[in-house]
Amino acid sequence: MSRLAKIATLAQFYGVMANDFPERVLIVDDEPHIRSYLKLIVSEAGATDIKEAGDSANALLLYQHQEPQLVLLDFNLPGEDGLAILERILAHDANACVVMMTAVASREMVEKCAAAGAQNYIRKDTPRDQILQTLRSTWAGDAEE
Amino acid sequence: MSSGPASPEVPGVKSLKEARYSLKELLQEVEHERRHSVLGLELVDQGEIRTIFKTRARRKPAKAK
Repeated sequence: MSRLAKIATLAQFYGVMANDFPERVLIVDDEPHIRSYLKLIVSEAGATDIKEAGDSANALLLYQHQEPQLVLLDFNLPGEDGLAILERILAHDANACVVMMTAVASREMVEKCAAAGAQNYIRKDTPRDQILQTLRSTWAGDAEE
Repeated sequence: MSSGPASPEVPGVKSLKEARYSLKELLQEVEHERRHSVLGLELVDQGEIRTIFKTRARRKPAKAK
């Protein structure tokens, strides 16, 4: 085995070169173009199994079926709002990693989601690279971004 | 004193006598407006959102599934 191959093997073994992004991602948003946009971002980041839901009922069904490692959840959905879905997901799986998303964020809304157990909150008008950075750092469990 | 000529009745067409609204539905609309309207709410940008989450001890996401 060449020296380079040994280094690559060791690096992979220690997770240095591993792609630190979840493979299974669930995107919940009632707007198809937003789902497509987010799908593009997470697929470029390394997600391979991406599911989409446009409402709360499908979101919960897909969550139970796919068992995603990361959920991107819109706050304003028809029927149940994102906060109610967040609570239901966390009741099903207390370790779920859910990142809330919204077009306009109020302090009250963000604080409620944080208190309910969301891992992070992203405004949809955030630049693409910053969305990706926030998702990566959330997944890494960093307090700092 | 005359109240003026009455509107002619069109046979087979019911004229509108009153409009009734459901109090329950009206209250639901008001509640929806209060919950979803951004008027009067303190809006936060991504930097402030970061600060809110930074001040809370976040759970480490369970990666191994």
